[in-house]
Amino acid sequence: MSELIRFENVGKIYKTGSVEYIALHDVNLSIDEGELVVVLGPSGSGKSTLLNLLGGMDTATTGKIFFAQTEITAMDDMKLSQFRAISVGVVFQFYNLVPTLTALENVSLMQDLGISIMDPMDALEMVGLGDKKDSFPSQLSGGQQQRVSIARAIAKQPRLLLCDEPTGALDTGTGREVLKILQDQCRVHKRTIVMVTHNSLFAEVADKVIYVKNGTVVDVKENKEVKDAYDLNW
Amino acid sequence: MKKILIKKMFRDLRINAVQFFAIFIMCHLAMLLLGAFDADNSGRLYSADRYYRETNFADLFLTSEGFSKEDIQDIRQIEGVKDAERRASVIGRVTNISDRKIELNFLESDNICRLYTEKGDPYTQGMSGIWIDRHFAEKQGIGIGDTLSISCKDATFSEIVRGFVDNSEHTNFIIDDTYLDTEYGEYCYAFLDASEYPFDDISFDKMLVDAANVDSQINLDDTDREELKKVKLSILDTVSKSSMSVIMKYEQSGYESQMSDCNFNNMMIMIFPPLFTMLAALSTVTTMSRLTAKQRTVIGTLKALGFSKKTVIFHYVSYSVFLSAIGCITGAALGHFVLGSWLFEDFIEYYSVPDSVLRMSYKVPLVAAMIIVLAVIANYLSCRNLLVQNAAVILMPEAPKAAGAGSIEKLKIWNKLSFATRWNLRDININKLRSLMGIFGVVICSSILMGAFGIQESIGYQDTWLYGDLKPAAYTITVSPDYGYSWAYDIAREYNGQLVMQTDAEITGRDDSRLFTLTVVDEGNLLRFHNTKGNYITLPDYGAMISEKAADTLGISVGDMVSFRLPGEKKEYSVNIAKIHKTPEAQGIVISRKYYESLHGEFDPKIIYTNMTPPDTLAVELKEVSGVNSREKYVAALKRNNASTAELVYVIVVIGIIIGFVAMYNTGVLSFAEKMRDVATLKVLGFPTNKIRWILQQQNLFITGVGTLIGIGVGLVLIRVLMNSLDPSGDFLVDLSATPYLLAILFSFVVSVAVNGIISTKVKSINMVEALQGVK
Ligand SMILES: Nc1ncnc2c1ncn2[C@@H]1O[C@H](COP(=O)(O)OP(=O)(O)O)[C@@H](O)[C@H]1O
Ligand SMILES: [Mg+2]
Repeated sequence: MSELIRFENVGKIYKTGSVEYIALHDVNLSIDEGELVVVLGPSGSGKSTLLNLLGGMDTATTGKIFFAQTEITAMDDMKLSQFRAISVGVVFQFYNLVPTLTALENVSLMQDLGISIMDPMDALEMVGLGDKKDSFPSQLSGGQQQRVSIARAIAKQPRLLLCDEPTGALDTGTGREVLKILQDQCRVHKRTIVMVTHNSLFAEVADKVIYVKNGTVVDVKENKEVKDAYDLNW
Repeated sequence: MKKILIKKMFRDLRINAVQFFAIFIMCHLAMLLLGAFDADNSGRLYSADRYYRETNFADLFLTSEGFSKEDIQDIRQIEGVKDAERRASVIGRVTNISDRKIELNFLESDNICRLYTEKGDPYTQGMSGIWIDRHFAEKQGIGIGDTLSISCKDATFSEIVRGFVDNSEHTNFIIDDTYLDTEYGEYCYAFLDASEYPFDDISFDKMLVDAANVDSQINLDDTDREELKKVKLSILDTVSKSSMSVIMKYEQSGYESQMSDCNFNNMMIMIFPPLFTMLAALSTVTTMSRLTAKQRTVIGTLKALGFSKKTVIFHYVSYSVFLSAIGCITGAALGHFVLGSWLFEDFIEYYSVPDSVLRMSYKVPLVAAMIIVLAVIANYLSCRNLLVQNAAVILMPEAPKAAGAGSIEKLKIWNKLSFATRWNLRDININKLRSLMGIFGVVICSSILMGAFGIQESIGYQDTWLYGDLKPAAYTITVSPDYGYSWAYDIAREYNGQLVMQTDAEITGRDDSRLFTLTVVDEGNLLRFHNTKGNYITLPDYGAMISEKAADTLGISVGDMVSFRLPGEKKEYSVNIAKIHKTPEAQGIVISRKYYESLHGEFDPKIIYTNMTPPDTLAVELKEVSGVNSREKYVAALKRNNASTAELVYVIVVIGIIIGFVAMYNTGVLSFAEKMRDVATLKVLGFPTNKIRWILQQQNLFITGVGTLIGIGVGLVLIRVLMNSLDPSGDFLVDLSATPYLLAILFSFVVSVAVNGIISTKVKSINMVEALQGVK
């Protein structure tokens, strides 16, 4: 399979006033198209930072990041927005739906990006929420909100789907459903998925597991055998 | 089209309606006042200008005892004079329609200040009959073709009404001293051909001059004024008549009075719309920084989802564009059509300018655009800092600001301060901008209130001051123009009155030479004087007093020698200024009869003040008396004159309170939201709700106190500027009583404490866990 993402000596330093904090240093990794990658590590280890750099949501301090042979670390703000709009879908731990928009409107919002997306209703139905289209986020459960957020991410049919602790705020049962939907996105729809979690169980559903500790990649494992989300011993 | 984002905007607007209302209402009020004063002002200027142009309003007005054929020929020869025209005017009575005074003007030709025919045949030279003013015809029910019986001095004659007219020289016509204000239709002005003159020798007492090089009517520039002055001097040089007076068109009573009204409108335009515009910008800053802070996650998410910085900024800026545009448009419309029409009614009632219409100047769209641009800039600046950051950074919770109260903490007293004071001082210091905006809101509210209450008091006090303190006489008798000193003396003796002469005088000071009033006072105690502090002073026997306003204009102080000249007289009087007095009317010089006569001036009093009660019919019975007016009538006229200003003051007080409330609520909500975390912490630490509310209230009181203090200062300036523009020949009391101060302070504090009370009820319901989330 062809390489979709490559990190070359990537580092990220946060500056708060005069204090510098090294969140990532010297990260090298490669992700192939169509893979489901799980990034594992303890809290504060730099997982989210890595994901943010990958999605062009933050800028690396050092090093280069390539997406489909294009260097995204060299893009200006405008190009980066375009990159995010066309190629990246994001799912957050706390869903981050716009509270004043209904489920359907949250998905339709992607139309305002000026890109062609799938019918928002189809996206909602894909996550099993066709009947909740007119509900506002406050009227939905956590799992339902996360599914709307996935519908929003996949509606634009991105090549890359980024999920930061997507089940972190959900109970086991709901978490499993959400994980299943994501796994299907990879298997059925051939989307590359990078999922951040501190739950080591999730390693079993991944094609590739990247272990992060103290701001750097300590190990990368390829799974020969991949479990179905419902077969996880969770 | 960003359809969903627009939907989001409308939902946000609805959910935060109270906050967003502030932006709307400030823009609305700014444009409401601008729209109204502009409609009135532009309408007045446009209507008057058109009328003056159509009728060829004279550039100079000459009066004398009589202008001969040679005089007019000489004047026509003067360089800079295009044309001149003579008129003879006499006052008579219409006897067959009740008994009404009528001013008869006999025309030789009709090229300057032409008759504006409303109905009937236009006048042409040599026509017989009479053209009467349209108000009189309307009110008295006179028709074209009716016959008027007129008595004038010893003659009686009849004239057939040929037409109803308006005349640009009569835009605010008051026939004589019987009337204190224009009362159209109660008396009449009329025009006839000179051949209808009822006496043998026609004496043309007026001349109208059309200057060749002055084309402007309303918008006279400095060149025009200079040209008028030049022509005036040439006329004075050419025609040597002792009794002649020449006034330039901008000194003509109707013209001057209209211009001074416009001056007041202009002041209002210059003061209030900018104030409200600043408040609109302020509300935009507070509301939008609050909204963007609240929507931090949404903004981060939008950016993460691929919305560009530009789109997100555009989205948030569109809130204020929408609100300010709606506010401006509705404000301008309401201001123009409703408040503007209301203001314009005054003009229509007071001035006779035919076909007057409301107008809108370029200022309205221009200022509206400026307000919108300003709101956009304020909006942009208030959310730019957040929006330019990377999505990932925005999605991190905001780090709490940490700082002390600054250098004050190093002082010894710091440790002696209570916890609440220390907390408040730190909070103010950390959030300087917010505190400044809070103060600014209070300043504007309290300055408007101070200004309004102050003006109200000044205006309200005007009648007590003028007709109580300075002119306490129960009655004022005015002597007819044609009757000299001996007649006046006889009447004064009969009614035990005090004789006063009041006339225009050109006073030359250090800086300038201008037309003011000369008052010559005979013995008596019915005309009194105040110094600038409001204490009585006496008029010296040999020494002049000058009013403060005239002294300021001309650069005169006590001890100076000042010269003045009466219009139509060559003679120059020189007097030394002994005192400065302050008066709400007739600015100029006051001297005693003794002093005046010692300078060889001719004492020609036309005013008699008396405390005896003359019979009602005196003015009708005695031809040497032109009017008898009671003190009550003067007071009523003054009140009527000030009524619309007083009403306007109420409107402004109401607006001031509304905007004060809105501005304070707005900044209050913002500051409370920012303090939420601290408040939650205090609650967690076990502070009771009431104690926390009191701590918040203390800060609020401090901010209100500082704001009110500054606001009162600003308000005093407002009063000065507005009162000065209200009436150039008037003056007002500077020493206000405590009342306006107290009212301004009271209202500001009541509004502020009420707003804070409303907001701080939230302390009770604050969700400690939620508020503390985000603090890592
Ligand atoms: N915007 C930021 N400013 C300062 N420090 C940050 C910022 N974002 C993350 N960090 C720090 O970088 C480290 C890594 O953060 P993160 O990538 O969120 O960890 P993880 O997702 O693995 O829990 C953490 O210690 C965090 O405090
Ligand atoms: Mg994380």
